[in-house]
Amino acid sequence: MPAERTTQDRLYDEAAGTYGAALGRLARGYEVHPDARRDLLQEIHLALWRSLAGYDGRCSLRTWVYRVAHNTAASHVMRQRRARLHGLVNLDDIEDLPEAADAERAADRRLTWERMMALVHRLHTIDRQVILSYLEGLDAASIAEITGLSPGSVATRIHRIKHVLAAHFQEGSRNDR
Amino acid sequence: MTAEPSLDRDAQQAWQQQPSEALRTSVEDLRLQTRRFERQIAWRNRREYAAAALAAALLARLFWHEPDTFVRIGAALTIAGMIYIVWQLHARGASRQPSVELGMAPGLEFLKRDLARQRDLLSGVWRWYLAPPLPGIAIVFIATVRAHPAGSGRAWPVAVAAAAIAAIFVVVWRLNVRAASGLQARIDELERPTR
Repeated sequence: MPAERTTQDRLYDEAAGTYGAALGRLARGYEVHPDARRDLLQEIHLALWRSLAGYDGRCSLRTWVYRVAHNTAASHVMRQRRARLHGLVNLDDIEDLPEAADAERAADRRLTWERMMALVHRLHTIDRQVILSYLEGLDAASIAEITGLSPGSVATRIHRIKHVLAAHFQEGSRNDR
Repeated sequence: MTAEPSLDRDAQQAWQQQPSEALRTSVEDLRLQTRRFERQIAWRNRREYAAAALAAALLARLFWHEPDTFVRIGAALTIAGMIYIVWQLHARGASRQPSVELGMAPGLEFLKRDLARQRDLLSGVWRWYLAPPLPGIAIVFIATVRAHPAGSGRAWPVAVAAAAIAAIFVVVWRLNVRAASGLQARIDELERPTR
């Protein structure tokens, strides 16, 4: 006999229905390997459902969903980082990363996108939360609420992200012609 | 004044239009997974408690059958140290962040709290994991050396074994302290005023 649906279950259905695709994209921003990404996404959904037992409406459901997703993914990154021993960088250092070895490969827009994703995967957690939220189209106030950064700090980071993204996509577009 | 880059909109569009990887799951699946996960944790805990109980039983046997009082005291102290470690593991496992914290805490706060929790676990490893069994182990070794005078030929292997165990304890402690320093550096970075 199916269990009675609780408020927690109904909130989960609403959250998964509205933000399911966004959660899939978010997992892509934290995990590059497809199998590990599926596991992470599963972990996010499980954490979301369990967390909703304590949702009291103090923040919007959207903020709650993104917080759970980013915090779960941050824990995942910390575990992976210990396992793989690779270093992460700050947004301020992103331009110092080495250029693609083969200039011709960068002519492909898809590869430009992949390179962009590689940069995202090397960012420290908080910078990654900002860039992924920005790519999702969230405004600075929403990003501040999700990340806990001050609105000013978010604005500074977004400004920096815009330049980094524009630089990469400008290069990709030029090479497409 | 620099012009606002416009191509970042392309990036947002490309990001949001990428093939969806939405997960197909249901509340019933999640409920089952939760139960499975809780069973795994309970099974893991039972295994750890069983291993500790086995080691304690061997030491208890030593306590009952060993004529040397020092060895018996050492065995009793080692058992007490092990009980303390198991209790600490149980308490630390029980105080893990509940799922609701994932939604309550903004990213920065969650990250700092998680890093601080790991830092405290590592920096305190000497106090709650390494030190408790040491008095008992040391007394057992001293009693064994006392029972076998230097000329008997058995004192040296015991001394070498004691030195090896001490070296392992020191290396584990140093590695944990170093890891805790790394975590503290990360917390400091997150707390910089520009953040």
